[in-house]
Amino acid sequence: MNRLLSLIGIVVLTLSFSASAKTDEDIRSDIQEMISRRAVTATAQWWQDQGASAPNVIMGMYKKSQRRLERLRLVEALSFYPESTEAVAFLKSEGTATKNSALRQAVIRSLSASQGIKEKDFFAGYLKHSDPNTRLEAALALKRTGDPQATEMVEGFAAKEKAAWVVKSLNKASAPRTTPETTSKVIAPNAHIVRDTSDRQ
Amino acid sequence: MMKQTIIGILVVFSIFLSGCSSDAPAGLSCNALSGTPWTPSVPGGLVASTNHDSSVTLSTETKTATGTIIGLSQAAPSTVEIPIDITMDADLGAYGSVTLVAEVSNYPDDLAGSAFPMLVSLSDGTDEYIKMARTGSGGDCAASGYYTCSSGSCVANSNCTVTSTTSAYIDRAHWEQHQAPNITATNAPSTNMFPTCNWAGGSGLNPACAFTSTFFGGTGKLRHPGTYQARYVLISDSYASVTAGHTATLTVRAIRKTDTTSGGAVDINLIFVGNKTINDSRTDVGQRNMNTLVSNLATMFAQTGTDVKIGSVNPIEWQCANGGDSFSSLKTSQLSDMFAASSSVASAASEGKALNVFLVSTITDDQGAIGSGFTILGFDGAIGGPPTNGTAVSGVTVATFDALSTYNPSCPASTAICPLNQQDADFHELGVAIAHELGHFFGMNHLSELAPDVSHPSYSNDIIADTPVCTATAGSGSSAQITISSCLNTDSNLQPPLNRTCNTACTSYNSSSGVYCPTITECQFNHVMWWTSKNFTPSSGAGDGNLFSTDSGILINFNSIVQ
Repeated sequence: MNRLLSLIGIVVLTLSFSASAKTDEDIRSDIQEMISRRAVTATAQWWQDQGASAPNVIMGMYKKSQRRLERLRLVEALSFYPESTEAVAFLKSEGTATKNSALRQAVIRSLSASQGIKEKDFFAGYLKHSDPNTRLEAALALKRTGDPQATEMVEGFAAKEKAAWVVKSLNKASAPRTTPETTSKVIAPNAHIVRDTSDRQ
Repeated sequence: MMKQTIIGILVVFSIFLSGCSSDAPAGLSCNALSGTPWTPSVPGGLVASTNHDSSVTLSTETKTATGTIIGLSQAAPSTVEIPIDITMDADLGAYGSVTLVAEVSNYPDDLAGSAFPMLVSLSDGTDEYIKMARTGSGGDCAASGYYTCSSGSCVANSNCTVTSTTSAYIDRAHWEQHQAPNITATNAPSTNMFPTCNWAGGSGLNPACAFTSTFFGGTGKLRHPGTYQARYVLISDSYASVTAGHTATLTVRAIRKTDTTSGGAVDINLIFVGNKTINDSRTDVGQRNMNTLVSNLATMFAQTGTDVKIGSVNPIEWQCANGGDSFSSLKTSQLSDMFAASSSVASAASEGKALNVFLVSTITDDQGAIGSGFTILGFDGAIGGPPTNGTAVSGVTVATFDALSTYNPSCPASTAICPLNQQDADFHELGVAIAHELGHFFGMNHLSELAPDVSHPSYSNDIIADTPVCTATAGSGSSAQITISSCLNTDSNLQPPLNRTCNTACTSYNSSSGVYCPTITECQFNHVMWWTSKNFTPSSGAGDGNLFSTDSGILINFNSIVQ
């Protein structure tokens, strides 16, 4: 009798789990809808809620897609799965193989957001890339880590970088936009408007 | 000998100068340029300077005044409002308009940020056009300010609203778009163009036009002769409250457009940002693709009902040597700086007559709180942007994804304009994106959208009477959104003029099979201002439509840039 009740319990649990869990096709469909928007508004929690198989689904979608915007957004979406070693390996492989600067930069941003200091060496490898935007993105990734050794790399890079605008952008990245130059004379700002900007996209 | 020495010095000097020229390679600092700059060549008369409307004339009146700066949540009684009188003696015609561009200068040194010059009232002597709640009671704008702030975060004061549907702006959100078009930009002007509509019909979410029903007084055009009075408040973008005595200068330019006939043309400044995009546009394939892109764009604007053509296309190469590369992989935090650079990049002669379209490699949202920041296809400076260069909102931008020289590989290189069935989906969408962002710049919103923020707590619509409404969403909770599927399959709104749903009008839609209904006006996704990506089947060149409705055309025609 006990064994029968246990079996019934297992069946009920399995059925209820099956009813609530999303299939890979459900995940694909939801993600496809999300990345088709003019503005991707999903939170980190939304991406996490897609389930454990989401990184594999995203990588599969990436391989099938011929659309540039979609592929970039899928690369960016992988940043929400920092625990996925497959995603990290995939991103590094794509970043290394691609000749497209936009995709390479997206890979660096995605890995920067998900792995940070752990991928310091990967980022550092791009500091001598022929594409200035790639160099800048890699330097920004290193700068964001806040790691002393990475900071040293960035300072060394900035000292040697020939494109003045890259150095300028790198330096500007840390400066709060609303802080005026004459800080000693200025009353500290204390308020700002909060509003979505997706209506202009 | 002396002469030879001087000549020698001159030669060396000229070599030095040529080494500094923008076309020359400069080591690692700038990648070299090659090829011949693109010259637009679009057959069929879609792009021609003769497309302009000879009946259009412009006159500008500039007024300046000094006014008090208040904080975001500070009471705004009439004593802080700055009155600006505008002469409206001339008959501007049925397609005429007046555009008020307001800017703030001489902002105090001891305050951070800048101030929004907000138009809170406009009277033509008979009617008040805006109708903000300004009586000074019930916690309204005058009593409690235009925003409510908590821990430094400020949202719209829910008692400071547009009090009547007989207004130029249907609600607070539509009004605010024009007063504070970019909340993170410093010194963004406010731009308010009147009329904001002129069409019959309208109800519910797209209500009747206040100008047609009331403000025109039955004449079909702005009242004249007389003096209109605009009233502005200067609201700091960085403080909840500002101590007394802080003032700034308000400059208002009233641009009166006289226009008695429909139609006209807009010029486009197509600005290639950075050496990579420039080089792509200089290849044979890039030149063909640019001609195809302009042809696509011109076709979308020139459709029946809209009848706005493209006058001239001015290609502008914003080279690395002049700072272009620093904006080529654009972050949203750079938008205002890039748009502001339009005064140095575009010609002064084009100001007020041409729209600035910045073609960049990519656009990334670095101001959102989401992960690494998602890539964006296009962005507009302001909904209803200013007809001026050099401001933080002077243009639109779209991403080429560094593919101008590789798009449309199935289209033979010798083809002048690639037909639709030889265009990549991404390439086709690029043209749609430019049209969409220009639509925003002309003052149009998305037809419907759910914007998940406090300023737009529920549906936000374009208010244009003859565009369809869709309120059905897919998904649930915070992720519920309007989609092609929800508008097609579950929306029950009856659309004018035939009172049909999208589903009734478009029965065989199947994007997987390449079956679309691009001319069905009842479906939101067939309009240029649809708010998400569209479907397009490259092999057949079929896809969702790219319509501008007739009433949308009226709105575009009012714009002073359309001449």
